[in-house]
Amino acid sequence: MKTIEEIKSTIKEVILIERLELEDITADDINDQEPLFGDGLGLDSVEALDVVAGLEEEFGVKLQGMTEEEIREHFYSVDTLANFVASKNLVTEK
Amino acid sequence: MRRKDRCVVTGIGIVSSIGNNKEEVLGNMKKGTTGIDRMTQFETDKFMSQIGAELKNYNPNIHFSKTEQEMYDRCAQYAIISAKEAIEDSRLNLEEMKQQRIGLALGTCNGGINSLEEQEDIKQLDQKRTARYPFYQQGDDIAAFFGLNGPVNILNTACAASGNAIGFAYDMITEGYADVMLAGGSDSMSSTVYAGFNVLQALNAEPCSPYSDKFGLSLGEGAAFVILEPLSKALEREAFIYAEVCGYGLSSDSYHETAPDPEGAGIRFAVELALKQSGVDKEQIGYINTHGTGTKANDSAELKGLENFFGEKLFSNILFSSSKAYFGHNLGAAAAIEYVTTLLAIQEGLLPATINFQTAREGCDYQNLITNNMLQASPEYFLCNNSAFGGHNASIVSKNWNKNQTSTTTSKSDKTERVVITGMGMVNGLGHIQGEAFEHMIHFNAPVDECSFSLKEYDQSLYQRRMNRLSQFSIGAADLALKDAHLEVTEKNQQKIGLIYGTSRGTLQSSEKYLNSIFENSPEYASGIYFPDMVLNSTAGKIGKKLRIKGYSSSLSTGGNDGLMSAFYGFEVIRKAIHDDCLVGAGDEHSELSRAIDVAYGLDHSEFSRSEGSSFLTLTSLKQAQDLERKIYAEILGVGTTFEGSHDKSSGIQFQKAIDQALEQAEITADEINFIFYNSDGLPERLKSMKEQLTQKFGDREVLCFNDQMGYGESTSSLNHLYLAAEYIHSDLNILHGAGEVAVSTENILEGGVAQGLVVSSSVNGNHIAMVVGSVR
Amino acid sequence: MLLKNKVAIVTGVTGGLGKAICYRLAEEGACVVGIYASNDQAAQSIESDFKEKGYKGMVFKGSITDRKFISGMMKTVSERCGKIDILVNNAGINDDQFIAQMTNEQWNHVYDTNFLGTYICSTEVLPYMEGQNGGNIVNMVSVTGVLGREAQSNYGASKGSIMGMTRLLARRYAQKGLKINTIAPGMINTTMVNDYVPKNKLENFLRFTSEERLGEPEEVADAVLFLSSDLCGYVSDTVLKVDGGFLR
Repeated sequence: MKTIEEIKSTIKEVILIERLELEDITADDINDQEPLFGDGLGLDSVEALDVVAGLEEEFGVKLQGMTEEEIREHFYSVDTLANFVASKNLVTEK
Repeated sequence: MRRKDRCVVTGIGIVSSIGNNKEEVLGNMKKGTTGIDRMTQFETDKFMSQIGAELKNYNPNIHFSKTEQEMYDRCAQYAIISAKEAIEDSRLNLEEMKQQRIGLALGTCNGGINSLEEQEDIKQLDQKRTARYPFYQQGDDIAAFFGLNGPVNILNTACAASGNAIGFAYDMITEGYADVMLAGGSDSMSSTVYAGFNVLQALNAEPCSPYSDKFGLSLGEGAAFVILEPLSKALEREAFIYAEVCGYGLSSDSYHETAPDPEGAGIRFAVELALKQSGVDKEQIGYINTHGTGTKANDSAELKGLENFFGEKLFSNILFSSSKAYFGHNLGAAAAIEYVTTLLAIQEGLLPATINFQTAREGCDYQNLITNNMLQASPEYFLCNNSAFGGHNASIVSKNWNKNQTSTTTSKSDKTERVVITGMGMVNGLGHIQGEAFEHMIHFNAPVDECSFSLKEYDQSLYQRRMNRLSQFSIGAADLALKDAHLEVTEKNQQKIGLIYGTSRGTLQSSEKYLNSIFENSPEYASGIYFPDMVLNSTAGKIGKKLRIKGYSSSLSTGGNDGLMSAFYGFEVIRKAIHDDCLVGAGDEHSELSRAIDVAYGLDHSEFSRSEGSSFLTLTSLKQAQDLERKIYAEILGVGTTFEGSHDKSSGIQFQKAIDQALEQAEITADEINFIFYNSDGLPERLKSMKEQLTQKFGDREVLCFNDQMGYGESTSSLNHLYLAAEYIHSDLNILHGAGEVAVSTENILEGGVAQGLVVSSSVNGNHIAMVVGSVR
Repeated sequence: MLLKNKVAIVTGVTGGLGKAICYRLAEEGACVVGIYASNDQAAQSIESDFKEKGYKGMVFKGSITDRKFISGMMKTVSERCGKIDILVNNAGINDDQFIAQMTNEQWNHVYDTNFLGTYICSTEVLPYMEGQNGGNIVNMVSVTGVLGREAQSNYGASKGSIMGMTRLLARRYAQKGLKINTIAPGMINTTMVNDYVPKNKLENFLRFTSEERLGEPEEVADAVLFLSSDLCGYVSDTVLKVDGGFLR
C-alpha cells in the first residue's frame, strides 16, 4: 500500500521523467499543481497515452471505459492524478 | 514543352483477407463481406481489440519452396503472389521482354518486420532472418524474383506508401524511364505494430465502420499490384485497359506525428496538386475512394479538407466511400488494394461501399457517401486518396476506360524545366557544414564515425523532446541547405517547396527502444512514444513539421543509393514544374540494430568505416534561380537508373546501362565527361569491380570515391558524391587538396568553360543510379 | 537429353527412390519440381545440390492428400515453368500389420496416402496435360501390389487400386496424347526395405529373385525415365516390373 507521497514520487520519477524521457528536469522541478498538458509541463496526446500505460504498469490502474472528460479531469496535474490512483487503490495517508 | 506518353493500367493482382485473387475479392465485395474477424496469428486478449483482417488459409508452401521462404519475409511473399497475378492478367510475357526496361515501385509501411519479431530478442539476432527485414529488401526481392532491370524504388510513406508507389511508377512511364512498371504495396500482419495501434488507443473493438458511429480502425494485411504501360504500347498489343492514370499529387501535413491536420489541409493540397498535374478539373471528378480509417482523428478531418477543396455544392454531388471496412487498414498496401478494387468494381459498373455503416458520426453525414451496398455508377474520372502517419498524403487521379474515349492521342504535352542545385548542407562527423565541404575534409586524416551534432545546441526552436538522432541530423542538414540557398520558408511559399528524403533503415535506435518495450515487458505495454518512429517516413515528417514545409513530399528506401534516388525524384519534381524548389536529402544513424543488419549483409567487411549523419541539397528550377539571383552550384543534366535483375552481379551490364541512360538524357557522350565520382559500400570485390568498370569506360579521367575520407553512410554517401560533384563544378574544377589520399585534380583546364561530371552509386542489391551534372550552359 | 525443356513433378522426393528419380530426370534436361511432406533438410539439400550441378528444379512442401495444396502448387509450377509434362506419383508409405490385427486407422492411413494421394495428384494434373495434348503420368506401385505379400494387405490393396485407376485413366486419355503407366519395383536398396523388412525375410526374398540381389534406386529411376519420355511411344496402361525377376 503506497502513501499519496509515494504515488506522487513514482508518477514524477518513473512515469514522467523516466518513461517520457523528459530532459533537463528533476522531480523537484515538477510542481504538484502544475498542468501536465498544454501550458505547464506541455505533454502531448501521444505522451498522454504513455502515461496511461505507465499508470497501468506501475499501479495496476486501468483507464479503459472512462469518458474523455473524466480523463482530462484526472490527468490535469500530478496532484489530481495521484488522488485518482489513490482512490483506485484505497490507499491510506500517513 | 515536350510530349509524354499517357499511362494506363493493363493488369491487376491482389491477395487480401477477402480473397486471394481478383475474382474472389470482387465476389466478396459484392456480397458485402468483411475480412475482419477474430485474430488467429497471435494473442490479442490483452489488447483493446481482438480482431483484424488476416489472409485466410495462407499456405506459403503452395507458392514458395522452403529455401525461398527462408529468403522472403511474408511482406515480400504477398507482394510476389499478387504481382504474379497482375503480370498474368496483363498477358505480358516477361521472358520475351528481356531487352525492355521493366521496373518496380513498392510501397510498404512495415517492411520485413515479421522477420525481426519472430526472433523475440533484438539483442541476439540471426543473420538469415535479419537479412529479410529491411524495407528495401522487400522491393529488391520482388525485382530479383521477376528478373526486372528497370527502375526500382521502395516508398516508405506508411499508409500512403503504395499510392506514392503507383505515382512514382506513373512518372517512370510517362517520363520515359521504363517501358513497363509493376507498382503496388504490401504489408503483413504484425504483432508489434498491432500493439502500437493498441497503445495509441486507435483500434476498434468491432469491425471498423468509417464515418459511422463507432470510432476506431481495424488492421488488415495483404498486397496488390498494377501493371502500368504507355498507352501507345498497350493499344499496339491490344491489351485490356482498366484505366488511365492521369496524374498524382503528394503533400505533407507537417502537423503531428500520428494525427492528421484537423482541417484536412494536407490531403486537400495533395488532391489539388493531383488535379493540376493531370489537367483534370474538379468538376470532372465523379467518385472519390477516401482514406476513411474509422478513427476519430481521420474521418471528419479528411472530409472537411475535401469539402473545402471542392466547395459544398460540388462535393455533395461526388460519390465517395472508404473500402477499409472490407479490408481493414492495410497500411502500406492500403492505397494499392483500395485502388485495385475500385478498378475491379468499375469494370462491372459498380463502386465500392463503406460497409458496417450504421449511423453517421458528427461531421460525416453526407448523402453522397456510398454505404453498405455497392452502387451502380460509372464515373468518368475518380480519385484514390490516402494519408499516413508522419503526415504524408497521396492522391491519384484516374480515368475510367470503360467510358467513351474522346481523345485518341496517346501522348500529352507537358512543361519541362531545367534543374539546378542552389544550396547544400551536411551534418556528420566533420561537423555541420553549409555549402563548401571539401575544405572540411582536408582537416581530418581519418573519417570520424560518430556524429556529435546536437540540434538543441544548433537551434533550439527546431528541437523537440526525445527527438531521435537521425531526425536531429536531418533537420540540421535540411536547415543548412535552405540557408545556403537563401530560401526562407514562409506561409506564402510553404506549399511550394518539396521535400524528398531517403533513408535505408530509418531511426533504428527508436525501433530498438520500441521493440524492447514489447520484448522485455509485454505487448500491452508497448511504448506509445516510440511507436510513431517505427514508420520510416517519420523523419521526413519531422523535417517537414519543424521547417514548416508542406509541399510535394516523399520518403524512400533503396539500400545504398537512397540519397541519390531522392535527388532523382526531386529532379523530376522540378523538371515537371510541380514546384520551383525542392529539398532532397538522406540520413543514417548508428545503433546496435543497424550493426546487426550490417553483419547480416556482410557489410562489416567493408573497407570503409560506417558514418552517420545527413546531407541535403536544395534543387531549384533554373528559371527561379536566375530570377532570384541565387547561387548556382551545378545543373542536373541527366539521370539513368537500372536494377541488376539476375544474381550475376559482376556482369555490369545494367550498371553500364544506367550510365548510358544518364548520358543520353544529358545529350552528351562519355568523352565529354570531365570526372567521375562514384559511391561504393566498400566491399572489396565490389569496390574493385566498380572502379575497374569506370576506369575502363572513362580512361584518363578522374575516377574517385570519397568514402575513405568521409566514411560510408548507406543512405547519405550517394548524395555526398553529388554534393561534392556540384561543389567541384562550382569551383570550375579548381579545388586544391591537402593531406590524405583525395586526388582532386588541380590541373584541369576546362574545354569551352564547361565542366561535366558523372555521379554513380549502386545499392547493396544492385540498384544502380547515375547522374550527370555540369555547369550551366 | 531425352527430357530437354520438359517439366516434371515428382512426389515423395526425400526418400531413396524419389531422390534417384529426381536426379535421373534432371540429368536428362527436365526441370524437376519435387514434393515432400516433412524432411526439410533433405529437401533443401536436393535443391541446393541441383543448383550446384546446374540442374533446374525446386521443392515444395506439402501433403499429396491435401487437394488445396496440390492444386495451388500445380498452378504455381505452371506459372513458373510454363507447363507440366510429367507427373511421377512416387510418394507412398507402408504401415505393416497382420490383417487380423490391423486397425482401421492403419488401413485408412496407408490407403489415403497411397491411393488418394495418387488420385488427387493425377486428377489435378490432367487438365494441364489435356490442354497441351500430351503428358506422361508414372504411378509407382509395387510387386506387393501385383502379387500380394503377408502383413501388407493395406499396402498391397492401395497399390492394387492404383493399378485399377491407371487402367481407366490410360484408356480415357490415350487419344489426348497422354501416356499413363505404372512401375512395380521389387526389393530396392532404400530405407523402406533396409529398415523395415526383417533380415530373414529379406534373405528369403532374395533367394526367389533371379538377380539374387536388391535393386538400386537408380535402376528404378531408369525405368521411370523410359515411361516419362518419348521412348515409350506405344506403351499404355502397362505395369512394368522392375524386380530382378521376383517369383513370390
